[in-house]
Amino acid sequence: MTAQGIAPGTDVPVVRVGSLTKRYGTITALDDLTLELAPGIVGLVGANGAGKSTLIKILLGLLAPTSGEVAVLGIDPTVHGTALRQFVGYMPEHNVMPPDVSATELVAHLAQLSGLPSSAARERTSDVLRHVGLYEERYRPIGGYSTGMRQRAQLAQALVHDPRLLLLDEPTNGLDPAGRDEMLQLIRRTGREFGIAIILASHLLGEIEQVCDFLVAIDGGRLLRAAPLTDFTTETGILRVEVEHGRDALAAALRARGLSVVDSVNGDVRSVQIALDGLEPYDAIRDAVAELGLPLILIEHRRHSLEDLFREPLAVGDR
Amino acid sequence: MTGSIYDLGYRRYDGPRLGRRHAVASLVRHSLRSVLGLGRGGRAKVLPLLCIGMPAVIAVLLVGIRALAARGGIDSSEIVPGHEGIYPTIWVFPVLFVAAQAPELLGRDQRYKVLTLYFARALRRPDYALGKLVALSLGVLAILLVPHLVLGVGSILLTTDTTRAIGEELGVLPAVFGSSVVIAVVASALALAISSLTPRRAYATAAIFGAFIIPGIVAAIVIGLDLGTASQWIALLDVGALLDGANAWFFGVDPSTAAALSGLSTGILLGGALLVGAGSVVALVARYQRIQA
Repeated sequence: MTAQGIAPGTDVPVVRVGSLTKRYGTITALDDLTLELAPGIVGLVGANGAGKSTLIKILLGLLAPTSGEVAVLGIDPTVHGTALRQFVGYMPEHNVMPPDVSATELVAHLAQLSGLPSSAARERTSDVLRHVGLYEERYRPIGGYSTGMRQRAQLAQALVHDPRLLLLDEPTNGLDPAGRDEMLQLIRRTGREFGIAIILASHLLGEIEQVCDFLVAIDGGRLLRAAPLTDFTTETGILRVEVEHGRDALAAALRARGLSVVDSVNGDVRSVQIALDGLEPYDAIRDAVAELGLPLILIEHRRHSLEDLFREPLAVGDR
Repeated sequence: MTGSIYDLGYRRYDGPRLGRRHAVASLVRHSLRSVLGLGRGGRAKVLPLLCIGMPAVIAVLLVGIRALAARGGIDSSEIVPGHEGIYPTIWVFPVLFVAAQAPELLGRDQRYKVLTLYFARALRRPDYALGKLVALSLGVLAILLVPHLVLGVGSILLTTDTTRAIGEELGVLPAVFGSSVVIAVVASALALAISSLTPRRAYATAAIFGAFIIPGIVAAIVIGLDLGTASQWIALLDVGALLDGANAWFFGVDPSTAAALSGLSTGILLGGALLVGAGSVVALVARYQRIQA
């Protein structure tokens, strides 16, 4: 099916990297990353400079890793980069489209460079531009587009050759909230309904939560965690008790009753956090609050939020 | 702008994926159209039309002069240039063409970071650089070959001994193609190597003109000072003289520019031209291996 005889394997992970390391001089961009990703929409999350873009460029075969193994759709990008890129779409982080050509012209040209015959390139260009919501404006020079239209055209060029894997680097960059929601919805549909595996790099956790079903968190080039999104938002073993005032007195009273009070995070001065370690805490809390006459606001099981990933782990200790 | 995203379906593609060779061929075709101004606005067509049209007009005039002379019974072959004189007569047009189009061919993609999109496709970095070189060279080749064609057809039509004229024209074909290919590739490679260094079109155009013209002026002055035989080697710095020498080598005639008359053999000048071409290709490819995208 391909001119080079290299085609994506079936029943292979979308991405498999083993001990992947990339150094630029003395800077380590990726540090011993080992990862296996199944089809679906995968969020690649990390602060700016965490190594997201470096990983994407290695997956595309545009950067050679310093050491380690990498396979994308079962193909080694360091050896068969050109063959692989016929099956991978890439939407870069920044606007990289020339202003003086139309979306139709640019996307059709790029489709051919991805290996499509010219008639198929033209046909799919018009299909894909419609799919992303560009109509009459697709014949106008890109220079006159709004940011939202430019981003859609940039998504279209990544989709035009019907990739098996779509790599999106900060796809909502520069969009207003409405445009952001539309772009995310489009990405979700592309992944869910058309079965294209997607890796979505973002530093915005909210975006990841909206569209992804699997999450890879990297920080400083190291893998922090890779798990289904639900794992990140499950209940923690922490009970949060919020009072209008008198937090410190309550903490002391609860400690006196033998409960494990945990350090509060980010300056939360109104609540006490209790580690659930076997003891039934509810009676003790009721008694302590009643005894001190404190205005109780709520008692809740704390859920993990994605932000927890990038915080120091909670110091669960008996203090 | 449309406020929302309509979805009329997405179709999968199960057709052929033609790979790297197809990708490079598409790049060459697209780039050639763009250097010739095809599929672009009217203004983009002015310069290519001028550069291809003027040499053709000049060739028509040469044929016309010959015809007039022949009618008057004068043998004009000594004064009116033949195939060997085409490049020395029209050399300014290829130079104008590469100086204007090479920066356009490379600068846009650098300026707007489009390279990122190119390199994410089924081609490699050197493929991009070499594809652009092939496209520009084909453009220059058109400028050079059209007047040869006019001259050839004119010569055949003017003479009474058609068979002999056709034989002569066929005999000169290798020299026509050889000289044109060498000149086209060397001039294009040098212009692209210079253009690859800056996304700014104006700087690149000025630098290319400088590279083609200034060494020639310097060489002419140095040779004019008559400082001795060693000074003749300065001609090797003059790209114009090298290309003229290469042209002369293929046709087996004496070079025509002052610098080429410095006494260096046409073989040495051809070698110099090939060296400039090879060095430019290496520099161009190396630049695209390293360029950020």
